[in-house]
Amino acid sequence: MHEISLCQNMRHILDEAAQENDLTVISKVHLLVGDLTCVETSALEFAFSVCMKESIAQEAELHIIPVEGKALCNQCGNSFASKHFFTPCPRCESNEIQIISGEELTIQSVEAH
Amino acid sequence: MCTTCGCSDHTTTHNHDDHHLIQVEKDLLEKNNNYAQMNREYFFEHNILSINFLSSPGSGKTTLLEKTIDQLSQPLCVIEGDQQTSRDADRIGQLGVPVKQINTGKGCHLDAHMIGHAMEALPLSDNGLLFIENVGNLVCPALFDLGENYRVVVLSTTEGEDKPIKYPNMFHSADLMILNKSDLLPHLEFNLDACFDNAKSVNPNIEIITCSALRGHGMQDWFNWLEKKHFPQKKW
Repeated sequence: MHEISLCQNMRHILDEAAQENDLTVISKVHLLVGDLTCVETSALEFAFSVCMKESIAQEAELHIIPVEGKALCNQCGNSFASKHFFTPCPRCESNEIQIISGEELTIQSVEAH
Repeated sequence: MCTTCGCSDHTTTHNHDDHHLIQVEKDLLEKNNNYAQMNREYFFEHNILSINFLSSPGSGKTTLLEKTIDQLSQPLCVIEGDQQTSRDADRIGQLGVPVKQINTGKGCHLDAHMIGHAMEALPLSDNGLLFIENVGNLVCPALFDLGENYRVVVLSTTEGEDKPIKYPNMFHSADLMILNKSDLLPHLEFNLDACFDNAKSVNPNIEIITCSALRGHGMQDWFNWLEKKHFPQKKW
């Protein structure tokens, strides 16, 4: 359940954002979650509801924005969508690929009333 | 345009009729990564080779450490991570090596902050080594940078050759895969080539060593790897 640790970190970041921006209630959190991270979104949603209790975001909705995995082929320079770390390049079939997106775990923004 | 709510306001903080939108742009792992960077700088300044050992439970990490410690003359400290008990730390401590046990309780991984505190409790020596035995788990620890120089994932032959593609994040992030318990290969239907192909498919740069920590086969390759990795920092 590393999702609990991630949500504890999220609570800390939200507290800081609230202090910096003089917020009293956070109503929505927009979170980028890459398709290639080892994060289970249902576990994250559950952990969010637990970890935000008695915080500025206790009533907040968690809006998860999935980020598609993308890879760049080091052999032919092709960039392509990839659901795994091991998708060979569809153009030259090389396994020498580099992940360029899909590993995000980023609070993009929050909404406050 | 505001990409979150679709309004036309270009400022990072702006008001709507019913809400106030604030751009945050912060990584959930930022705090851990900052602690990891502090650990990394400490290792660099003191020329310490730090290795994070990861695997599923029962792959033979502790035996690998015991047999490695037997062979090393350099100053060495060990951090042991487990949910409960100090059994692994007790085993390592019996070899006369300074060791700190971290019990994560309900946690499933070590993080960089825990490592920083464990380091304070250990007599780390310049030009020495630090071995970190992570909690046995092929999922969660992959996410948490500890500031280590290298990640070594230990896979044992009894686990099957498909683990690298079943747990790609772990093998993708590792520098070296040690395939342990090679002495059991004659008794198993384990396809070595398929295992290596699976590991290389999730991480083309991963190095691979096959050994039996218990019986000694292949261990010299591992000792050579360790020596080679310490040289680039400073001769020891």
